[in-house]
Amino acid sequence: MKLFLFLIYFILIVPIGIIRTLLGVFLRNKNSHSNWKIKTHYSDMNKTK
Amino acid sequence: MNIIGISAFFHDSAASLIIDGKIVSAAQEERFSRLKFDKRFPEKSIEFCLQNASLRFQDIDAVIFFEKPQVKFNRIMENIIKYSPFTFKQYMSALPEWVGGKLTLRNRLKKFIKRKCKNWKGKIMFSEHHLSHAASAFYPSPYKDAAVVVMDAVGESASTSIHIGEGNILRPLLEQNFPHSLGMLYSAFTSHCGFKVNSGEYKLMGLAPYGQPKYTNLIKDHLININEDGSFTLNLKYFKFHRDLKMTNINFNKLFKCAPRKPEAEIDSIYMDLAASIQKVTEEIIELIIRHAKKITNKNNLCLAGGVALNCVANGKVLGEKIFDNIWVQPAAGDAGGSLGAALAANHLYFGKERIFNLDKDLMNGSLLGPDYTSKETRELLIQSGANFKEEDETQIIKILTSQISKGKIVGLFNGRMEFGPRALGSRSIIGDPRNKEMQKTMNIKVKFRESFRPFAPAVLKENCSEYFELDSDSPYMLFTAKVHENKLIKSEENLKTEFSLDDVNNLRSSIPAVTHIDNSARIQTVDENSNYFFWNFLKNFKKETGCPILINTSFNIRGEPIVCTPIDAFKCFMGTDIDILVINRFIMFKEEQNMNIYKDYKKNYELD
Ligand SMILES: [Fe+2]
Repeated sequence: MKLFLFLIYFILIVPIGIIRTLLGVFLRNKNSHSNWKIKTHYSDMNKTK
Repeated sequence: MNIIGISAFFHDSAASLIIDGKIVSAAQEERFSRLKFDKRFPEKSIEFCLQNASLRFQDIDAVIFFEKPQVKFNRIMENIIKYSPFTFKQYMSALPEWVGGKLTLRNRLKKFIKRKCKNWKGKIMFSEHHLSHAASAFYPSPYKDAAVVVMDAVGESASTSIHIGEGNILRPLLEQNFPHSLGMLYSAFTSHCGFKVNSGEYKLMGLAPYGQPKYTNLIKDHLININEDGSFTLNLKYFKFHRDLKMTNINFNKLFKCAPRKPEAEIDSIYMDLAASIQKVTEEIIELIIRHAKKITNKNNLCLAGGVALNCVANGKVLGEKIFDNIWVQPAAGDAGGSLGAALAANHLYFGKERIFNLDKDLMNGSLLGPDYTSKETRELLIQSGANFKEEDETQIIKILTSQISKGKIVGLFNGRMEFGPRALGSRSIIGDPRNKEMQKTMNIKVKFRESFRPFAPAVLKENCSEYFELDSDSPYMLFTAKVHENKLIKSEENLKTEFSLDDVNNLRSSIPAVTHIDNSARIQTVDENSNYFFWNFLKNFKKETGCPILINTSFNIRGEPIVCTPIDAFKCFMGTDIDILVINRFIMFKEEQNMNIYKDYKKNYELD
């Protein structure tokens, strides 16, 4: 199990992370005067997501 | 309609039961398992909730979990990916737990229920973490409508949120997300100052008055960017919690020119100053958030929940600012209270049930929602424990306690139903005389076996509160701090100092020194006839005999131990500490009449918190 998790981390997660970081450089939103996000409704209580 | 709410798998698991909208029972798992902040599935708490209401599982219409496991998992994974390759430790620690059962929580709940009841027809539901907190603050409050603010470390991804409650409807308005979290910021300092995250925050708050807020500007310039509307962003350059198992990193140490304090090491003044500084910054942010909540909701009432709402010093300051006319804080503001909120959210928001509320009184029953014991049960348990006890009527017990406490004796008081939430409110409490100048030291060191700097709280008769404290609102759950009244303070050169050392705790500061903190503040519990009749009556009698309407009230446990739950727990704690007298409902026990060979090594049973 540990070896499996180890492999997933370095084969899958790290590369995705690097790509995301590179994309993030271009998409970064700076100089915001608020960090609040509007939320309009709670999600369905029947669901786990 | 019978609904069970559950919170589990993070910190302080709990279960709550509501019947037709009425809060019937609630308890934390730690009280039954005797493992502080037990985060395992709260089987024993659920069992208690059912038993207490004489229900079986087939009578339950819905079971609701206090957060959304899938959403939380997504946030954790996204975070692990975002900050990889620095998240390896976090990944290796979190993943097995999730794969091992947290992700398939619905199935796990189904299996658990099936064991209790083969053909259960009820619903399994999931609330959102901040909705659970918000519902726990709004629905039991005595307000028809209110702004609701939730502040904690993190749930699924929200760390701070503002909601609006009107009648039986609760709506979200705004939220801020992890890693930008006030709870995480406070915990980072808690950990740097050598206290445990998720339990030492209270100690940091108690330490803050010893220090000077010298680092507030440094914090605001480097660690956090605060916007006028109370929203903020943390500068992650100084933190590690978002990617590792630690809270802060080397940049943090360099910024404050100090290494993290080792647990149990001596507390240097720099840690006191750090505590004072983060407390001040936290208060400023909370005030901005609450001002923003007022601006966008325009309500007169405010309800608070989430772990940060247990910061009673900040609550006291916000109350003093009079931003809202009234403030009500859920006594189980931490995640345990999420179980109650989830059940209430299901009842009102999902099943659309009308809200029962009372403008004069909240629906928490004084937070006395845990187990109690009949005389027969108590007697049997005490015999089983080897206790030497007498049975007396209430008047006689109060008479004995009053006279013994004024002679400097310490009393373990176990009366009626156990409290829900982190505070003991007179049902599982250790009581002493606040006028006694030795009492703070004695109780900290010989009874609680905890740090000597930590303050004790006063329980005061509601009608006498404003004579002693600068507080004109009720504080039935010990959730507001206020200054001791000027005319109760002792004016001496010693007391005019503004810089303190830990030894200053022994200075005589007021006519109630044992409950006057170093900055002349006190964490107040107001007691009235309706919230806890026996305790109120006891205070009344103490006032009649001594002129003092106040008693020291601290939780009935030692450091690292969950608050006592059963008469057996109470007797063990009594025998393992310097408590002189134990009262369990109508049974009274004196230390000198007990077999002193029982439970000698009590302290060793509990890991330090
Ligand atoms: Fe929470």
